[in-house]
Formats: sequence, structure tokens, C-alpha cells
Amino acid sequence: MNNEKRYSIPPFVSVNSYNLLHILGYFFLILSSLDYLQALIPPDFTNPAWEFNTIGRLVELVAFPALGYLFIFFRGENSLINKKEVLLLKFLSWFALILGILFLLMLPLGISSTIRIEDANRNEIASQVQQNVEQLQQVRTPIEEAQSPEEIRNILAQLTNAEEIPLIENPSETKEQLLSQINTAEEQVRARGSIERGSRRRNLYKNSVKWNIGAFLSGVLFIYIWNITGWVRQSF
Amino acid sequence: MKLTFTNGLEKLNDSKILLFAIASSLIALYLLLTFKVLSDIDRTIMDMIFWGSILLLLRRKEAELILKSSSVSKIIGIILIAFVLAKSISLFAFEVYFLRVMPLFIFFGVALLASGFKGLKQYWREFIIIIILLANPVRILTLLENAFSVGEIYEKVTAHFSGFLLYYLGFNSLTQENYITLPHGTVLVGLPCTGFSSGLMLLQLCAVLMVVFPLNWWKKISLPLAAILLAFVVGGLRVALLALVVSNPEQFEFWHGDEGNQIFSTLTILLFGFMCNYLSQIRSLESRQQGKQI
Repeated sequence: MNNEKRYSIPPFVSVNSYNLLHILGYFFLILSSLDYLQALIPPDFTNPAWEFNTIGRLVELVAFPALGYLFIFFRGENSLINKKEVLLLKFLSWFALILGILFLLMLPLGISSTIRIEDANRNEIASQVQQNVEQLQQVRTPIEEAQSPEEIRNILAQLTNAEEIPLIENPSETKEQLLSQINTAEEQVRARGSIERGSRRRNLYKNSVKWNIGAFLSGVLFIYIWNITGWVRQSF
Repeated sequence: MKLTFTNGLEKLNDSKILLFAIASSLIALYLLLTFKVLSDIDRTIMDMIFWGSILLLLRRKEAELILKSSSVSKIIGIILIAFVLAKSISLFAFEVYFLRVMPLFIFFGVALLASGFKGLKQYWREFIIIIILLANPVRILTLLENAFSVGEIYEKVTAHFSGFLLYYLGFNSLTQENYITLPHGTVLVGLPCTGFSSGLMLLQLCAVLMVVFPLNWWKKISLPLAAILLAFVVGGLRVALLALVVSNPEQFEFWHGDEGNQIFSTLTILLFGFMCNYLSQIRSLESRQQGKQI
């Protein structure tokens, strides 16, 4: 087992390996910038839903440009680099600072969008619930005002569309039944409304926490990247 | 042998000191008159910067200046200077236009006196600065406005920028075309209230900087762009502020009128100065770290 022949890797392979790394880095950067452009164009600022979702998408995709930066700036000592690439690296280094600041600026926007979406959701659900309740109210009023069995039979015919309406023995009892059914329906509408509101809010807050923390961390990360790649700005 | 300022005292017959005295007193006269007539602080600051840079340029090449002038040029120069002095004493209200061309008179008067017609060519840099000084932003403004509807685009972009800024800060703002609507009122964004004119002023300053200092191509492009951007942002901030106080008439009048205007344009110039200072410090720091000469 110990006599297994092992090969020594020749020195030029270092250059090849690093080149592969750098090419992959540029690839990541280009591809992720396409993704970012897709998310950001066409912009729809002052629309909280668009802002919120776009911030989320940008944050979820942030791994790619970050990795791209890692691969591009991973250089060995005494390795060679040509002038044009140094210029590009300098630009990328400053661009990392800009990205970091932009990510940090997304934080207040994300929070304010969350609040605005929450308000919009609440209003939407409230108006929907109100609409349904009013519809039920329209059904309820004729029932409450109906006096004779004939009227109740007419109402039943309107409501149920049945072929045969049975004779009504006890009109007040039928009235009670109808009214209680309507009350149940109204409670159901309100319950569904509050369930919907709760689920939307939970979803919103989960995403909000995830994306806002992500934006903050991404901002800090890219500022760190700007800092740590200072060598390309200062040594050339 | 190089002629320094102290040597000149002995070598030449105080001519340089005399010329310097004449030039600086005329410049001081110009600055005083302009300030009295316009009471525009940032206009005066700009003028001081312009004249200061002219004097700086002259100081730099002081040793190489040829100060020979024929009697004819001397006489013409003296006539021009006398004209300037006479006019300054008896300036009527409707002759304010004289102030605009006064720098030209000062320049030609002193230059002819110093070096004559033959020697005018060595002052070409200073002449460029004078031309830049004379360029009147307001007239350029109206020209540009009409030509490419640059004004309308600028208004719209500023309105959208300020509207978004207000939205970002939490106010419910709605921007349509040139109008920013807030819960308590609406503002219409007009060109004089944006950063357009201060942007042009900063561009003048950039042009002077480019004449005075040697700048590489990158700086020649990025400096004017940075100037325009800075003016735009400060203008946007001003519009946002105006939109916020639109419901309060006296506050609005203050910020919209002369004082508020001057505060913001002076702020623009100051910020530009800080930015240039900071950038030059970064450059010198990085150059030093690279072991290069600055």
C-alpha cells in the first residue's frame, strides 16, 4: 500500500488551475448580472409589491456574484497579471463597494414595503369581507320582513332553485332556520377572512425577515469584499 | 538666470510688483462691484475662484513671462484700465451689463500693459478662464432648454427622483410628469428649482480646473459627470424639501425664494470642493503607497 506510485504535479498546472478559477468567476459574474438585469428591468418603483419581490429575488441570487468575486480575486503570490485585467479588477473592487451600499440601502425600502403591503392586504381583505357581508345582508332583510307563508315560499324558491317547494307548516320556524343559516354563513365569511389575513401576514413576515436580513448581510459582505480587494487598488 | 519674485525687485524695475498691484486692485474692484450689485454669494465665490486660479497660473509661470511692451500697447492698456476705473465710479443702474464685460477689459488692459500685443499669446490659458467666467449660465440655460428639450427631461427626472426619495423615507408620494403629490399638497417642478443652473455653474468650475491642473483622461471625464450628478442630487433634495413644506406658506417662501436658493447652491459648491479635496487625497495616498512621485 505504501509503495503506490504518486505523481508530482508539474508547476504549470498552478497557472491552469488559477485560470480555470478566474474564468469561472467571470462567468458567474456575467450570468448573475443577466439575472439581476432581468429582475430589475422594467422597474416599477413606488410599487411596494414589486419592490419587495425584487429585493427578495436580488438577495436570493446574491450567492452568485459573491462567488464570482471570490473566484476572480483568488490570486497566488508571484503570479502574473496583465495591465488590462488589473484595470478591470480595480473597477470590480470599487463596484463591490457600490453593490454593498446598494444592498444596505435596500433595507429601509424592504421594511417600508413590508408595512405598505401589510396595509394593502388588510384593506383588501376587509373590503372583501365587507362585500360578502353586505350580500348576505341583502338576502337577510327580505327574510326578516316576510310575514305570510307565501312570501317565505317565494324567498325559498329564489334561494334554492328547487323544483318543488314543500308546503310550509310553521312559517316562523322556517324563518328562524333561514336566518340562522345566514348567520352561520356570515360567521364563516369573517372566519375565512381572518384566516386569510393571518396566512398572508405570516407569509409576508417570513419573507420580510429572510430578505431583509439577507440584504443587510449582503451589504456587509460586499463592503468587506471591497476592503479585502484593496490590494489591487493600492499595489498597481 | 531665473527670475524669482524677490530677485525681480533688484533685477527689473519693480514692474512685476506694479503689475501685480494693478491687477489685484482691479480684481478686487470687480469682485466688490459684483457683490454689491448682485448680492449673490455663490456667484462671488465662483468669481473669487476664477480670479484666484488666474493669479495662480500667473504665479506659476512668473519666471518665464516676457514683460516687454511697446509704448502703443502700454497706452492702450492704460486707456482700458482708466476706462474701467471711470465706469466703476459712475455706474448707473441700467449699465449693469458693464460688469459682465469688465473682466475682459481688466484682462486686456493689464496684459497689454505688461506684454504688449506681441506677448498676448502667452496668456492664452488665462484668456480661456476669462471666457469661461464670462459664459453666462442663464443664457446657456435657455439655449439648451429650447434646443433639445433638455429642460423638460431634467425636470421630469428630478421630479421622479425626489418623489422616490420621499417615498423611500416613508411619505406617501405620487409622481406624475412634473408633479409630486403628497397627502398635504402638490408641487410642480420647474427648471429654475432643480439643480440645472448649479450644475452648469459646477461645469464652469470643472472647466477652470481642467485648464489649471493637468488631469488624466479619466479625471477629465469623471469630474464633469460627478459635478452634474452632485448638482442633480442636491437639486433633488431641495425639491423634496419644498414638497414637504408646501403646505406651510412662509417656510415655502423661505426655501423657494432667494435665501433658500443660495443655501443650496452654496452647498453644492462646497460639496464639490470637499469631493475634489477628498479625491486628491486618496490619489496622493495611493500614489505614495505605490512608491510613485505625486
